[in-house]
Parts: sequence; C-alpha cells; structure tokens
Amino acid sequence: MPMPGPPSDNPTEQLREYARRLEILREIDEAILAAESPSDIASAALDRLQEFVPFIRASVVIFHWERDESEILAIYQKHGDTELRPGTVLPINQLPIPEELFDGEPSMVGDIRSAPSTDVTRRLRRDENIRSYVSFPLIAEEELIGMVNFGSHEPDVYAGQWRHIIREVADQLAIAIRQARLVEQVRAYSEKMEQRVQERTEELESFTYSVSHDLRTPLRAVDGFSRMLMEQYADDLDDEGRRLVRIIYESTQKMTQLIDGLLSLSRIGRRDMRRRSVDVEQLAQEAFEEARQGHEVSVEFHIGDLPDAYADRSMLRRVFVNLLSNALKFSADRDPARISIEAQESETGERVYAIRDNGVGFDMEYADKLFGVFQRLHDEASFEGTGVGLAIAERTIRRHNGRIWAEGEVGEGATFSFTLGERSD
Amino acid sequence: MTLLAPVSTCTDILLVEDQASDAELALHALRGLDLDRDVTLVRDGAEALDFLFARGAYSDRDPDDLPRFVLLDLKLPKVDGLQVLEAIRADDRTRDLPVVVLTSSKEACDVDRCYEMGANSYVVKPVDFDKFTDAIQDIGRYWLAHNIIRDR
Repeated sequence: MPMPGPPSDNPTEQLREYARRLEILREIDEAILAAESPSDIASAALDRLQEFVPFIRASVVIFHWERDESEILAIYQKHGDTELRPGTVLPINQLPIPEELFDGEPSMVGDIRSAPSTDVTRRLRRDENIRSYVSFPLIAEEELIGMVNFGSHEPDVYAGQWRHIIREVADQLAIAIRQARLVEQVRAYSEKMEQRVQERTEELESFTYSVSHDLRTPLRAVDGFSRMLMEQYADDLDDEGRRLVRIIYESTQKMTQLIDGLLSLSRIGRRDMRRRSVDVEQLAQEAFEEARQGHEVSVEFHIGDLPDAYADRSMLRRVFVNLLSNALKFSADRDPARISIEAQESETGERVYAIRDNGVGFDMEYADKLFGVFQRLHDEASFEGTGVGLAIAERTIRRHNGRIWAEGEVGEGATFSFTLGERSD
Repeated sequence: MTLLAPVSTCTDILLVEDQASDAELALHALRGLDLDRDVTLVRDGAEALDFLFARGAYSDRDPDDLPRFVLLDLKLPKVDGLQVLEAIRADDRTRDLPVVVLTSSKEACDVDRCYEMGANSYVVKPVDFDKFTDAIQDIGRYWLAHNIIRDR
C-alpha cells in the first residue's frame, strides 16, 4: 500500500483517505486480535503503523504501578541504536510520563528546538535526532496503563490525521493489552495451581506409600503374635482370655481391610486412564459374577440393553463390582433379591447407566453421605463393609468426567445411576 | 538352626529385614519347614552386603560360600533393598544368586524396578498370619528344595 500523502483539501481525496484510514485500522485490529501476549500485540500494532505513520522511532510502554516500573513492550528504531529493547524494565521515574497523559490527553512537541529544554528533549535531540514527537496515553477502565510514543526527525509531523489514527490505535491497544495481561495472569495462576496440585498429589502418594508399608508391619505383628499366643499358650488361657485374643485378631482383619480400601482409593487418582470402547453388557455380567462370590442369596439378575461405553475398562469394571456388591449386600434378606442394570438417555441426552435393587434402601436425607470415605448408613453388625466401595465408584466416575448419584427409600430398594462424561479425557 | 550368628561361616538363607517383628514371624515360619535350613538375619542393607562379600564384621567368612537364596526387604536403613539388589547383580560372584524381594509394598513402580534390577521373585508380605506363614514356607520350600541354580 502506498504511503498516504499529507492531509488534503480535496473532498474526493478526503473520502479516499478516510477509506484508507479505516483499512489501516482494520488491519491493525486484525493484527492485534491474532497476537497473544501484550508484547506481541504491541509489536503487531507498531508493525502495521510503520507503513502509514511517519516515524523514526516508536515505542509502546506499559506501567506496572504496583512495582513502580515501566516495561518496554515494543520498540522501533529506524536510525541509530538504543539500549532499550522489548522486555526492558526501568524504574518508572527513569522514563518520564508527560502530565497530559494522566488526563487522557496526548502530549505533543511540534519542534524540540523551540520547546523548553529538559533532560528528555535534550536526549531525544542529541541521541535520536528527533525534531517532533507525540505520546498517547493507553487507558483501560479509566486507568493509565501505558503510553505509545512516536518521534520524527522532521518538525510538526503529528498533527492532523496521524493524530486520529494513532489515538484510535492507542485505544484499541489499551484494551487488547489489558485483556492479554489478564489472560497472562490467569494463566500464571492456573500454572501455579497446577503445580500446587502436582505437589500435593506427590505428597499424598508418598504418604500412601508410607501407610502401605509402615502400618502393615505393626499390624502384621499384632495379628501374628496374637495368633502365636493362641497356638502356643491356648491351654494357659481361660475362655475369657481366648475371647480377648480373638477380638485382637478380628480387629486386625478389619484394619487390614481399611488400609487396603484406603490404598485402592488413592490409586484411582494416580493410575493412568486408558479410555476405549467397552462392551458394557459383557462387563456387567463379569462384574456380577465377581460380586456374587460369597453372597449366598437367591437373586434375579437382569441386564437390559446396555450400549458400549467409552471408558477405562478395568476401572469401570470396579465401579460395577462395587455397585453390584452393594446391591447384593443390602438386598440379602429379600427372597428373591432383584437386581437390574439398565441404560437410558437423560433429558439432556446423556447416557445414564442405572443399577437398581429391591433391598433395604436408604433415607434420601443421607443421600449425599453415601459416597464419602468410611461413611456408613447402616450399623456394621447388620451389614459388613469398610465404607470405601462407593467412594471408589464415585472417584472413578469423577475421573471419567461423569456423575454418580443414588435414589432410594427406606425398605423400597435403591437405584445408583451414573454417566461417563465426554469422550475426550 | 543357627540364628543371629554374627560370624556365620555358611548359611542357606540370608534374611534381610530391619523390622524385628517381621523377622521373628519369618523365622517362626521357616522353623516350621521340615527342611534343613540355616538362616542368617541381617538388619540393614549395608550388613547384607558385608555378609555377602565377606567384609567388615563378616571378613572371616568365605565369600564363595553363598546362601542358597536371599530374602530381601525393600525399605531398609542405610542401604535400601534396591541398592542391595543392584550391588548383588553388579558383582560376578553374586550375579546368579537368587533374590526374593519380600516387602509390604504393592506399588507397581517398586515391582517394575525390582524386576528391572534382576530380582528373581517379588512377594508382598501378607498381613494375615496364616497367609504370611504360608508365603514364607512356600518360598523356602521352592528355593531350597526345588530350584536348581547354575553350576559355575
């Protein structure tokens, strides 16, 4: 595109210039939109501007008020050299900010030679060979966040149309830079959070490792030595003595289960998920065979049409085993126990798998407690279990970006339903 | 059966275990085996290596007189189990020595690392007394009565 000439008095020419100006602004907007970081945005804007606005030096500076610093986002220098580079950070008082900028007005010097002599004008004249210059404020949400500066080796360059173009670009730049800074902040926060989560996870992993190793050793000792006591000294103990030893033994069994449960719970978060297409009908059948082991109940088991799922097979299997074990356990006194697995589309188009039983059910008031670790809604004497089965199911489903919930009524059975979230992990 | 012999000349099983209770349970289980066996217990990795390579307190030992196998815990003071395993595999004299890792850790990474380092077997210590006793006796029977080592 040819350099537009100086502002014209000819109406047709004016119209043409107006159209050209719009074109310039559009191109600059596009460049700004395509850029990501504040400095990318600033250099994109200067890049475009240099084709239309005469300058030998231009810069975009932002202010970090909280640190009393200014940062050079972009700088163009057509002749000579400068120690300033994009990314250069200076104490805020080292790069004077013209007073007018605080009022939202540009600061312009038509000819340095006739302007009052200051450090800045002297330096610009001597080092940069600049005759006229202009600084525009970058204002976002009524705050002065930076400035755009242009300098030319000729006097009185920045009046007329350049002024308007620069002003519009400066306004656009201010918004874009502010947005980009917000995005950068959010990104920095989220990286920090991710790092923290990572650290916490590692901490938890090493904790779990110690639990697995360190708690088991004394537990094995309590179990082993109480058993040896029974083997070798049973005759020296009376019935009460033997009963007490038996309680010690039984308690260690329970504690072993608790530790194992806790460990499998913590493994869910750590293991790699391999999601692929899973034949849920077959999986449900397998899970039922595993879950019914040790349950001496007559049960009518029904599997409906279950569409394939996109999931980690062994993790999903664990979910079905846990939910079916749960269903079997709480319908053990029914004759026959009725357990079914069905799939439906929800109102929002999600696929919902539901495991239904006709067991003792539960009070909906406590529905949110079902999935807590070591939470039990029934006393231990009536229903055995460690209280991690549903917690494991819940975490597994959550890792699949799905939801799990339960509905029930005391004496009327329970239904556990879950979704498996999006295809992508 | 010799127990806790500070300067044992030869042994069938080298048990590397820092936990006194686990060591006693293991010895109790091995005692129940109807096989001739001599167990030496060492309490950390450094002592295990001293024993095997006849160094330090074991410098009177004949280093060619190796145990039939090593029962090795992973989490040990001073030199840990993996380091012991590494040292055993790095030395020509002990390269073929059967090492059974016996640990509380079911962590997949520990299992992987042990096999990468050349463990012959990896057994998780059961918490339950009967299962623990069975496991130790199965290991003892297998490595003492059934396994044949390379003649070098």
